[in-house]
Amino acid sequence: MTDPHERYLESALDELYQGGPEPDLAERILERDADAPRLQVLRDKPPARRRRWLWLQAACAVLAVGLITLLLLPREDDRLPDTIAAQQDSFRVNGDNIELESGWYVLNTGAPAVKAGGSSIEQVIGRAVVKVGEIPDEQELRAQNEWLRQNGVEEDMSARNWMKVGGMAVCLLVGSAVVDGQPVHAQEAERKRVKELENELEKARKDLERAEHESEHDAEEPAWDREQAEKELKARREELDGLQKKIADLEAWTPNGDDGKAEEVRNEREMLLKAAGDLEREIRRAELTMEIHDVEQRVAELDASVEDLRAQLKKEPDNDNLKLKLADQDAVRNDLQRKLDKLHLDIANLEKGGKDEATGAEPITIDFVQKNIHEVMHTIAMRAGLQIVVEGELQIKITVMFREIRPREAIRAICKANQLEMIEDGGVIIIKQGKAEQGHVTRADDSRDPDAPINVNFVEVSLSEAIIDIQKRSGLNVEMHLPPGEDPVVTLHLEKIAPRAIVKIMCEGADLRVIDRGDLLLVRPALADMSLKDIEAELDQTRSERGAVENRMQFSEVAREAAQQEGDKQAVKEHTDHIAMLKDRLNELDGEIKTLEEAVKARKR
Amino acid sequence: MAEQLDRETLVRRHHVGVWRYLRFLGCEREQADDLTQETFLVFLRKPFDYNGHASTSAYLRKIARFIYLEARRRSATTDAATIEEAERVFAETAGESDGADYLDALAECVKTLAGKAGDAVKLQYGEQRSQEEIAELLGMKPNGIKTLLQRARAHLRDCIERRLR
Repeated sequence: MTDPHERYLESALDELYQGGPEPDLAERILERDADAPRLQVLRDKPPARRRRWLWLQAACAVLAVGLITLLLLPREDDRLPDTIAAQQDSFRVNGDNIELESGWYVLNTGAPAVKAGGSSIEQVIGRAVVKVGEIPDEQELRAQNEWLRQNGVEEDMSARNWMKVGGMAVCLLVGSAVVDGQPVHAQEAERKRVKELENELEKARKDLERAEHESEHDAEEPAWDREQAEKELKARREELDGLQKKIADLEAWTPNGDDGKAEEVRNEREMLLKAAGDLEREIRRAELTMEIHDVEQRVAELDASVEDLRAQLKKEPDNDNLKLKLADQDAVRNDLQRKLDKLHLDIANLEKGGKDEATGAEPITIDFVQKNIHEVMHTIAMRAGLQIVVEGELQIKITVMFREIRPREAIRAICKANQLEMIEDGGVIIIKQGKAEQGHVTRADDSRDPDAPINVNFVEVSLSEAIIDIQKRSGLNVEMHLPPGEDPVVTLHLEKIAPRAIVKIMCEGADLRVIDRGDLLLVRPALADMSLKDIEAELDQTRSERGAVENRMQFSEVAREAAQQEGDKQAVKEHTDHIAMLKDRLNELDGEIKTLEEAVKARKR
Repeated sequence: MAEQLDRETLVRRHHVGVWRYLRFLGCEREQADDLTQETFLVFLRKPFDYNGHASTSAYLRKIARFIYLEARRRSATTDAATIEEAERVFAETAGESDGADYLDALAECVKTLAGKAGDAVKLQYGEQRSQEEIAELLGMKPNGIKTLLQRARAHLRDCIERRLR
């Protein structure tokens, strides 16, 4: 189990069923600590602490001579705690602090504050080496090598980043410490780790390229290995963490007047940011791929179950329970298929992120089940950077799955399969009803009227299930984008109400937005529940949709002029009605764009 | 006025949170007990500024994390990057109550698991049965149990998130 959220839940479940720590743990801690020096909690805030020091200083002033004499004398109490190892040492214990005078020290987690020459190092969580005086040279380090090794420092200290603070040289090996009031991290160690990660990343990239190259020549797709994928994903996340830490370190770097160094830091930061961006995309792609495999597996399981149910139903055609079960399974399968479509779309959009949209020639992958042709063409237009106009009120639902296909080929294939005509007019592709089939619109749900009133009686049903039920019964097209993990429970009893009104009532009750696009209802999270990125994405999509509607309107205006010139009154009337409808649609889209723009502005403020 | 705290109060207030954190990092129960003690031994021997519950928890976690990493380093299984991520998730998820609110929400959410999902969770975490045993008891395939438990956990996470929001 790699996801830490999942791991947290696992440990919480374990605690829920198996209980928390032993009831006497607190007593055991207090007992073990009974002989230790008393905990010194500085209860008040910093000003109070300063006052305490002022008082101490005043006392020191009064007892100056005597105290100094006492401090200079060797005492039984002048011993270093276990958390500090020393060599050639000379120091004074001064209350909570240790004043270093000479020597070498290894400070481990829990060491008290040490001071030298007016500087201090405290709150060590990890390990630090301190030498009183200047930063040691190679020879000095070699001389201390054995002692350092005995105290758990086995690394090459000459390759380490030493810093001079006050009267001492400090090298933080692992973890962090507070040096002169500033938190310091073992940057050098991190730097090394990042370097290693960068090398690993480069290696992983090369491996990936090689794998991609090989897969092009491999006729059989290799079996997907979840365990391996999880391992790789974990490795990528670790690499990303390392990169982000390195970036944070570079961002925390303070210019010291060395322009060359500043330039170097800037360049390194930019390079790392780019690498982190690539890695983030790679991680997202891997996450989506894993999710797709999970959903595909569930779809396969459901398909098997549906097959069994159908076989049983053949034997018992009057078994209502079986029929209901089959309908349920179908609904769940449709839900999963929609999720799968969305995941494929997400992954395709992710791939597109790195490509030149202007060429429009990049292959695309699309996977739709029972989607409205307007939506399909809209998606293709968005992803391929093409101008597509779908003429008239085509109400065709299509199921397509293309992998790595040229956008124009995909459109041509869809048109051919659905008896549609594809006309390329300059940079615009126009899709219209095929001549042979004009006047007959194929509709998957043509037996049902999406606006005919229906009755509903939902008792504690999830919103998505309720909407799917309405879709099935009325033929109403609803596209749902519920917030992740959100599927509110609905209890509703209504009679003789238009299906779209029911959907709106349910969604409003669940604090969701419903966007009415005539033949399609879009269910979206409330703007307040969306991230800025998602709102901006929706804004882009809505603007692009507006552009498409505008194109359609211009096309209809041209067609109306042509009809006027030909004197075809019937056609003129039809085009005029159509233009009026498109104008209404444009107004609605303008309203949506304005709302989204305001939401973006508000978020940015 | 700042709170008056003594070592006993600090131990009693924070030891469960530290123990919970160590369990989350991957310690077995006994190891979590030992390392919680080690953590407090380090903590109680040092002076520190008390700036509230949250910062004390974070400070204790920092010590616990180091002690845990040291223990793992000794067994040559160090994984610092994962620990960093774990720290972030724990701080986010456990919140100011050190995980007590999460546990309460979980107790409520477990009650909403119906049918086989509820049985499977009880058998896995309550009776610590293997997935093969659970499959046999519930008349399902082991793969089905794996999927069922995944779904149950997903439901629990959603439910907890809603309750804590």
